Amino acid sequence: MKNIATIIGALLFSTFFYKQNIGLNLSLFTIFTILLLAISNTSVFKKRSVILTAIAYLITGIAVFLYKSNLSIIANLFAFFTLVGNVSESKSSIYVKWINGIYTAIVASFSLYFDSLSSEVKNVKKKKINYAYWFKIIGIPLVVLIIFISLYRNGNPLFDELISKIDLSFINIQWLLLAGLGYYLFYNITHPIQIEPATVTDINTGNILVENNLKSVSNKELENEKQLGVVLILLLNILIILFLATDIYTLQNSHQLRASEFSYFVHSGINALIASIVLAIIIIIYFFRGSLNFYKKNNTLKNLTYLWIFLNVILVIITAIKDYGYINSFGFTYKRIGVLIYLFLTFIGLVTTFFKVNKIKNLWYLFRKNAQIAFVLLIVSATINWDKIITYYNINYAEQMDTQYLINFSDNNTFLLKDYAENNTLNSEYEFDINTKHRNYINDLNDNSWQETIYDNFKIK
Amino acid sequence: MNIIENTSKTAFKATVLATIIFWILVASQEGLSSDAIPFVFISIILIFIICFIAILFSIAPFYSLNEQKKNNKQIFKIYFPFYAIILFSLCSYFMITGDFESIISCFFTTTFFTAIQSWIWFFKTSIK
Repeated sequence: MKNIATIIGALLFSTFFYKQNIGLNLSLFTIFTILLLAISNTSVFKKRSVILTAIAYLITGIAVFLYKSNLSIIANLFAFFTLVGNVSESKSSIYVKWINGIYTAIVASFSLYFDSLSSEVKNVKKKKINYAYWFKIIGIPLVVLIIFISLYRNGNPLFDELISKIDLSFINIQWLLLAGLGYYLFYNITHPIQIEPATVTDINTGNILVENNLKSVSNKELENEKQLGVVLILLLNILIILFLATDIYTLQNSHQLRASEFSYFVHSGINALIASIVLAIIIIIYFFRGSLNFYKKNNTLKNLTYLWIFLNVILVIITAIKDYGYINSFGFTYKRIGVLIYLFLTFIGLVTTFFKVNKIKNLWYLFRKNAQIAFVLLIVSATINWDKIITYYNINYAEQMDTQYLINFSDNNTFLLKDYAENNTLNSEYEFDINTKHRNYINDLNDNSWQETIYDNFKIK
Repeated sequence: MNIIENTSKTAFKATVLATIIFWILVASQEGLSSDAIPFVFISIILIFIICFIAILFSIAPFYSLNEQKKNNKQIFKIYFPFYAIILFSLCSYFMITGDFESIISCFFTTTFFTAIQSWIWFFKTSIK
């Protein structure tokens, strides 16, 4: 059953992707992959994490059909590897799932072949394939069908015309090689494997820092380290308070700044944040890496750390406000959205660091939680048509707009720009560029085969 | 296990495999006229040299560095996955930056599968 499904998958793979661009084909591939994995790993597919990953993968597949963006395609690929890795070992951390997913997809068959060579257990004698039986069950009906089709074609011109429309000329050596690659891929993912000992080590490593596993340190050394931590974090807290005070003052007076000064103010704030947050988290992780977590007199250090985390959160919020002010004046760009996403991830990093200190978690907890959240953010981002949203916002709300920047986007904003050009008076060069973009996009959509179909194909019909 | 002997044996097998894969891929895309057949035989020499060097410097060191501490199966289990992932990433990167040009795609596809199979040939020697 698995083998038949794999062969069907291989033929579909080539049918979907041979000399085709991405579109509906990737969405159908997504659906088929989920079904194939579910059929070949039924027990694993009952687990919540696997179901959730399959849903995430399906969502990215739909996103590719709706607006074929590079982000949705990358997210689809990521979700594919995550799902395959999840099927191979659902209890592992998300980054281990990624590498297990990639490993399974690219070389599972080779790894299994090596294992069969090195296995000490004698293989059970395989059931011999009865080629004569299969030849009879496929060959004879096929020959008889061909004979009857030839007879009926001579009997009815309409039937003859229908059969003539069946065109198998696309099957050539390249098509067959691609089908072979598809078979290889589907065989690999239906025989999931794991990277050892990385996977076992990951599963056996919890999120909690265990005192017994730590190197024993004397109380004097702990006291010295605690004092160093207290002094350092206290000074850093004072410094950040001063910085925030000046930043808030500048923010309140930002309307008095010229555009170039405001740009410098925003960008320098982002640079400061990048350096300080990363350093802050590293310093906190350093002090709370081991026995200091269990030292009875560490309350002062912990409280100063919580305060510092809180002040860094304020810094994130202020920088977000600066970025929003910039967006309000000059519109959305991918870089400005990137800054907001970075700020969100930084905020999550600070929150997880707080929990790491408060609940005495280990470093793996930080990696796992942040990686999971980054993955969820990637999936959610893939469902948004960023080109269209940026264009819509800039056209309707931005005080200043860079039209050429919007024209250079992908085709996802073509119809919006066309409507804008028709309802407003634009510079003739921009109008020409928009009309050219629109015309080219319509031609591309009309030339799409069924495999390359996307949602916009239905808008032009 | 004599490394040079094992590398040579593996390189011979890898050469045959690489030649077959590469020229099938090239023939399927560009076609293969009878004039090109001498080049197929000449390419075997070049492919052997590349395979030998690649195996000697990218696969054999894993054995050399670990032969006292681990057996072949353990070395394979620990290092092969990361080698495969890094090789796949590099091959994909070059194919994408080369815009999937025919000869580049053929070369890197051949490289990937030959290198992966070479690992199995190289490390299965002492298991038998």
